[in-house]
Amino acid sequence: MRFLLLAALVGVATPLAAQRTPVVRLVNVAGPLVLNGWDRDSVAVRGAARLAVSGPKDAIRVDGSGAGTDAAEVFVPRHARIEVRGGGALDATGLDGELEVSAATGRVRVEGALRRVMVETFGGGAAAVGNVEIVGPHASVEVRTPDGTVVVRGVRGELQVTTTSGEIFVGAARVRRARLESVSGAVSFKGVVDRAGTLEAQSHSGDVELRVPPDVAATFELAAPTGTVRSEFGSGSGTSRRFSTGDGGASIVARSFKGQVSVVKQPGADVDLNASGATGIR
Amino acid sequence: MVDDAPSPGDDLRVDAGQSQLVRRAQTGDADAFGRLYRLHVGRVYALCLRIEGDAARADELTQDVFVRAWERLPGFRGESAFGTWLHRLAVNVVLADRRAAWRRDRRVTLDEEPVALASASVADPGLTLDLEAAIAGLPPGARTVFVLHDMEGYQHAEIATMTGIAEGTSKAQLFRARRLLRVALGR
Amino acid sequence: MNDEARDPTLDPLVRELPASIEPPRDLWPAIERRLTPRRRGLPRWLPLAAALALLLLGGTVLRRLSHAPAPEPIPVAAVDPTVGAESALLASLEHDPGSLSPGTIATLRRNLAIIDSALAESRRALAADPGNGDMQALLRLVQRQRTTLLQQAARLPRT
Repeated sequence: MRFLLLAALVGVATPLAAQRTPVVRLVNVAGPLVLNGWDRDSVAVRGAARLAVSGPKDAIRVDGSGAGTDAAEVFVPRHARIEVRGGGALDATGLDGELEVSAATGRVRVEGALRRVMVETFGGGAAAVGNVEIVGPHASVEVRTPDGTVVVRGVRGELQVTTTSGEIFVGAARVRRARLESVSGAVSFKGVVDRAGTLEAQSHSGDVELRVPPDVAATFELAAPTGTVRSEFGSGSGTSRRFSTGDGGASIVARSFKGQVSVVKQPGADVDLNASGATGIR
Repeated sequence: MVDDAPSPGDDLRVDAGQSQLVRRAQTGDADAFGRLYRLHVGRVYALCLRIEGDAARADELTQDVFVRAWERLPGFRGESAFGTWLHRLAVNVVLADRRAAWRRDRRVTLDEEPVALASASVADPGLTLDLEAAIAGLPPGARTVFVLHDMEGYQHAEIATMTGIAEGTSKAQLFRARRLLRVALGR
Repeated sequence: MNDEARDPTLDPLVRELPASIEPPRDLWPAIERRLTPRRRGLPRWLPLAAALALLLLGGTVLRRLSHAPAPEPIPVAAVDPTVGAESALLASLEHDPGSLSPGTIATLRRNLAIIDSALAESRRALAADPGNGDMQALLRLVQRQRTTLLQQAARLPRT
């Protein structure tokens, strides 16, 4: 029955070795790619694209060189280490292993509970909005993109986002270590920093906004050498402030060279409220 | 009309991004305004396309909306959400264009060619394409009122004020639009 | 005729329609050309910036903004150790741009311009206040981003 089900998918159902974490490499997939994690130890392909599947059982290679720009859907073991190199838009769901995306030039969306997500994109050109969205309680998230908007929601652990002109929005986060950097884009963080954790949010010209719980225990360093600093914690004024709240366990740094740095009290900052219609017109 | 399911970042954008972008755009930062454009162009274009029923004209009007928004932005005080303010501005731009068109073409035709609208990926793409095409095939007056009332949520009194028609005429146009759509969809 | 009520036949179909439709082409370039330049409004921090500028012009030492012990100032004229490697990367990208897509090249140029402008601003400000630890950290941020961007571009597959 399982064989018949797999055979109904156009393409190859290729079993992987079950002894260790399998690796699946996808290369040269030019068109939109949908990656689905499933509970089988095999790789299957569905769609109009002809993706060549090859390789030994613990290192499957899926090559889209002959597939043109047709959309493709690939099913991979959810616990595998997935490497996607090159390609256009990517939508990955249901994965809980590792995902590494490099040299992508389209939108990237990842939803799941991965141990590690690394996404490196180079936008989609002038006509595209190079967005990266990472959703779910991933343990480690790293994103590098020159522009576009990066949204990370629900991370639980380590987070690093670097961009030149893109904007960074982090929500419902609980971080041990987070570093958010943009040169001209805004940086916004809503979440909790672990006791003894660190959060660094910096932009050269963009505004930096942090929303953290009112009972946060942290040492704050806020600076905007030619901008403004506004904080609902601590006291004092000026464009550089250092103060502690509670036992000062965590370290929170927010800097902008000429933007506004603001720190706001936000109860439930690590909860995903999933507000609806936020940009609705009515 | 229910909004598209919001992307995970929508509320975060509202929390932090848009107010910053609006502030920067108000001081002359065109890049910030460009980002606002990217966030809102879809809704503006949808409104223009559905009321105009013509893709080329919708293109031009969408541009006019954002140029007008740039000019008016220093006066935006934040009493409403930026998206709401922009949408109202878009409605005004489109209706001004419609009023000018109606003055030019006094005779309203029933035989306008439906425009092929961009399809959306929903559960039954065939059905929604039928509806989009059917709306585009409505006479201009009926189409305008249907879009404003049943899709955008305006009341007849508001529509009357915005379009310069009587409230009774607005109600009649809506009745006509709904009847024509039901016929077009075979329901 | 109760026209204020929803139409039970049409309303469910209308609700399925998308709230937004992306235009078939990018309208932003045409819009941008029509935007009249606006003299930037006065930001709230201007009075403070103006005061700082006056102090700089007067040659007065700025009141130290950081309360933490001042880190060793970075000599502004010091050679950036990454410059050599970055120059080689940039040279290789510019010598062989044909293998990168026009969109990628445009992205690279646009973002390098942003970075270089930010570097110039940071260096000018640091020259006037070399001991400012926050400015030093922000300069390092921009330098890091320049390296990251070039390395990322160099890693892109070439045709």
